[in-house]
Amino acid sequence: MVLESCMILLDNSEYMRNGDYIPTRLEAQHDAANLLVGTKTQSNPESTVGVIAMTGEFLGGQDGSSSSVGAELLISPTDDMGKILGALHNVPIRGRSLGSRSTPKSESLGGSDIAAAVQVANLALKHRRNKNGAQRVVVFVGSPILGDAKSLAKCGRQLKKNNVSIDVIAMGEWEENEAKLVELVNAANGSGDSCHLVTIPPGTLPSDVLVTSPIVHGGAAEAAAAGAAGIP
Amino acid sequence: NPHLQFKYQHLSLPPPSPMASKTDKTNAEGKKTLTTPTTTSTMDVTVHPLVLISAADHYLRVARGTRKRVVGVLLGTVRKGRVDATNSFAVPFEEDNRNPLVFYLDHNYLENMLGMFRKINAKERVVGFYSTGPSIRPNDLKIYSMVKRFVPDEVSTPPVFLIIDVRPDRQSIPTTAYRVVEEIDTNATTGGNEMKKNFAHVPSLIGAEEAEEVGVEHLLRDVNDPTVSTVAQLIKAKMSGLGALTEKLVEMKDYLEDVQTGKLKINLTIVSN
Repeated sequence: MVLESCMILLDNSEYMRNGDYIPTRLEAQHDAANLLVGTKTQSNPESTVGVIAMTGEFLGGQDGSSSSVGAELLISPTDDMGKILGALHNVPIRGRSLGSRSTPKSESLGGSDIAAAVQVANLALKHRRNKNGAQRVVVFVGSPILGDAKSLAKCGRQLKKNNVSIDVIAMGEWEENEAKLVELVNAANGSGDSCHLVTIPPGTLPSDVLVTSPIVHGGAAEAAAAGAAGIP
Repeated sequence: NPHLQFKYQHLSLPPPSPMASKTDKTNAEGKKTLTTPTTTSTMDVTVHPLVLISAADHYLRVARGTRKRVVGVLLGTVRKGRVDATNSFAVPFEEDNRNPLVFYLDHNYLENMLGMFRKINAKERVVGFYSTGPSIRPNDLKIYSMVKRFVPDEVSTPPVFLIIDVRPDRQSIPTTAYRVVEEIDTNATTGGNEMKKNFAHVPSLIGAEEAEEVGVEHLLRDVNDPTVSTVAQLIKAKMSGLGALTEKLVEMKDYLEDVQTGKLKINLTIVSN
């Protein structure tokens, strides 16, 4: 398969405690991320994967304007499976309602600031060791997205400019996020089709859905997707 | 005492925290300082010439000509609150100027590099981090908490933040050192008291061991022209010293004026000195 450097963006906000996926959204996300990491590192020995948690540490009311917490880089792009899986397992749920008296009630559960997290992923990919491969970002979205469709579209265009493809895996909160995610993927796609948006219906296992999706098979295997539809 | 100090010595003022709030953009309200009683607080920082050269080289390699800054880790020893920064290394760092939440610091790289340096000299450990500034940015507290993870637990002195100004036309010492203090911020809009972290000034010195001094002298021979008469040199040195003094006096005057017009709250430690 193609050599690529991939950054996986995990959603670890409070919405991921929801049990509409088995056993919780967070566990389902882990499962899917495990699958992704496995396929990417096995398909090409030089591929590297990194992990970013979209809701990072909250440093206690900087200037009261806490519109978002900021992404936290957990693992920079590497091919060491052990390290990656270890970091994936230890991702804690971080909500802004913990210990912060400055956020208004309406934001206490936390959403995910995708634009900022994607920019951090951009920077991380810029500093990758092997500049030969393709750049890719895989985002798991399981909570309402902070920011409007326009800012996401701008984010998508920036990704296209930097030649980074993005795959979005939406788990839950579909009604709120649909328009924004579609905007993001369309803007990042431009005229090509390297970016994909996959929705996981509640109650199913994300890994099952992903195995048959273009995210795992890569954009090149569109024809094989027809044959792969028979794979469980 | 193996440390010899150059004739250049930082004119030490009492550590003023409202001054630090002038230079850093994250806090602007009046506050009371409170020192954490369990850790030995940093008294001063001695920077060795190797650190300065490494930082300047880092900046030239990565961000020469741009307005970006570079960040690296300081290694050295701490003895009773006096920090000795003897070595340093660079880390891949990047930030977005417009959005302070977006920044990237590769801590896997930091870990690996630290492990390698440990093999060379086991006594050197992480004592802080540097940035080429030239001023404090909002990200610095986050970088501080990241670097703090690498300071071993039994050490009581927290990491120090050093700003090394690599611009070529500076008159005084290029280093400014800060330590992190927790303060109670009586900000009315957030409704009540909060513990906020802020940077407080720490005096910094340039010092070197004898072997390092010999090396620096060698380098200086190419920079300083020995045919210029010594009287001219003395006058030059006096002028630069007086220039630094004027700078400090102007700063004090501005501060007092601000306090008088009510722009800044009065700090008794400074005024009584």
